[in-house]
Amino acid sequence: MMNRLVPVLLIAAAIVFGYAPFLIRDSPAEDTMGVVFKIFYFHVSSALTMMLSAIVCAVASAAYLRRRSRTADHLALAAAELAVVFGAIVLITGPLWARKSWGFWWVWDARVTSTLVMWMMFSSYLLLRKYAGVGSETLSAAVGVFAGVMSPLVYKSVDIWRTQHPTTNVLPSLPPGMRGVWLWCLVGFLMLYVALMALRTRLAASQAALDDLHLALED
Amino acid sequence: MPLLLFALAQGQGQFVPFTGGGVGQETLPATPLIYAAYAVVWLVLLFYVFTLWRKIGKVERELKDVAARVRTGK
Amino acid sequence: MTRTLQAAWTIARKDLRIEARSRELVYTTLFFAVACLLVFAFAFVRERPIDNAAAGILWVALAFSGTLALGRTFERERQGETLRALLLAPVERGAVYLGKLIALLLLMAAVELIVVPIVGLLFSAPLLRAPALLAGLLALGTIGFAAIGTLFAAMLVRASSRDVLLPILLYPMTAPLLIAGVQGTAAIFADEPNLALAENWLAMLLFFDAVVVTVALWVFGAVMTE
Repeated sequence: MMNRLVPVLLIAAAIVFGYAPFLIRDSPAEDTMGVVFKIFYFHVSSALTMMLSAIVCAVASAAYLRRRSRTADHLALAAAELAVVFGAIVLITGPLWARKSWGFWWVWDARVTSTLVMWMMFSSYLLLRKYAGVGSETLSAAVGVFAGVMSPLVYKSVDIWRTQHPTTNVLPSLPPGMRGVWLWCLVGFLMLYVALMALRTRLAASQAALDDLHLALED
Repeated sequence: MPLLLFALAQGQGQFVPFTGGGVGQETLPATPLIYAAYAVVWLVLLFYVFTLWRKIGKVERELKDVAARVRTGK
Repeated sequence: MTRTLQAAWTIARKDLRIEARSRELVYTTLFFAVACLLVFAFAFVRERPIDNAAAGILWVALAFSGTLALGRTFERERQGETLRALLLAPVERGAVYLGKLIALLLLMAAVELIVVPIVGLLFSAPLLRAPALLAGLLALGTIGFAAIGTLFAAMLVRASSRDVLLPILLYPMTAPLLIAGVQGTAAIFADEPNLALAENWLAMLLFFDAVVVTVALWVFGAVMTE
C-alpha cells in the first residue's frame, strides 16, 4: 500500500512546491521585515518538519529499546536522517533571512541555538550508526531517546540564558493574508516528509534483508 | 494597507524587532537572498530524493540477484 | 533498593581501590584539566581575563577532562572484560550503572577540588563569594554530565571509533547542563553578582539531573542486555 502511495505523495508534494512560489510572490510583504520575510514560508515549514522527525525518531528509538523490533529501528534511522536533512535546510535558510532582517548571519537565541544542537544530536546519531560497528542499532536507539528528552531542556536553558540579553525577535503571529500561503507550504512539506519516510524506511528494510541474505550465504 | 498594519499590530503582542547592530540591513538587496534560500531548499530536497531513489534501486536489484542465487543454490 | 545501592557501592569501591593503588586516572586527568586552563588562558586573557571567561573556562576544562576520564575508566573495563563479568553477575543492571557513576563522580570531585582553586588563582575569580552555591552548581553539573557520560561510555565499550564517538555524542547532549553550569557560575563571578539568578540555575540543574539520571537508568538496563 505504501509503495503505491509514495509516488502519489511525491507528485502531490511537487505540485504544492511548484505552485508555492507564485503564492509566495503574491503574498503581502511583512511590515517590519519587508520582502525578505517571504523566506519564512519554507524556513518555518522545514523547522516544523524537522521537529516532527525528531519526535518520530525518539519514539521509534524507545520502541526499539523495549521490543527490539526491526521496523522500529528502520523508522528511527529514517527519521534521524530526515531530521538532519530538514535541519540542514533550516540552518541554511535561516542565516540567509537573518542577514537581511537582523544584519547578522547568526544569533544565539533559544530557537536558533536549540535547532543547531538538535541537528548535531541527530548527526551524531548517524555517525554512530555508520562507524560504531556491530550493535550500533541499540546504541543509536539510546541516543535517539536522549535526543528526544534533552531537546526541550536545551531550548529551555538557552531561552533563560538569552533572555538576560533581550536582543532577538519572536516570530510574529501571522496575519490572515499569509496564513493560507503558509498552510499550503506546510502541507507540501508534510506530504513530502511522509513520502520520504516511507522511501527511507523501505531502503533500510531492504538493506537489512540483503545483509541477512549475505550472512545466510556465508553459512 | 492600513488593514494589514492593523492586523499585524493586533497579532504582534510579543514581537520585539531586532533593530540594532548588524551591517548592511538597509543596503542589502533582499531578492537574491530569497532566491538563494528557495534554491537551497529545492536543491537539497531534489538531491536527497534522487540519491534515495538510486540507492533503493541498487539495493533491491542486488536483493533479487542474491535471492535468486540462494534459490538456485538450494 | 538498598541492595541495589549496596551493590553499587561495592562496584564503586572496586574502582576506587584500583585507582588508589596507581592513582593514574586522578593525576593524568588533573594535569589534563590544568593544561586546558593554560590553553584557554592564551585565548581569553587580555590585560585581564575577558568578562565571564573564568566561568566558561572552568566548565569547558571540566567537560574535556571528564570526557577523557570516562573513556579511560571504561577502557580499563574493556581490557579486563570486567564489564561483561559485572553484567553477568547476579546484580541489578542499575547497580552496575550507579557503581560506575559513583566512582567517576568521586574521581571528578577530586579533580575539581584542585582545579577550581587554580581557576580562582589564575583568573582572579571570587570563589569565596558564595562557596556553597558554587559547590552546588559544580556538584549538580558534574552529576548530570557524568550520568549521561557513564551511559554512553559503557555503551561504546565494544564499539569501533569509540574514543571519538564519545565526545561527538556527549557534547550536544549535555548542552543544557553546561549552559546552566556556566551561566550559574558566571552569575556568581560577575563584577555585579546575581546570586538569585545563580540559585535559579541551581534549581534547573537539579531538575535536569533528575530527568537525566532517571532516563539513563532505564536506557542502561534496556541497552546492556548482552
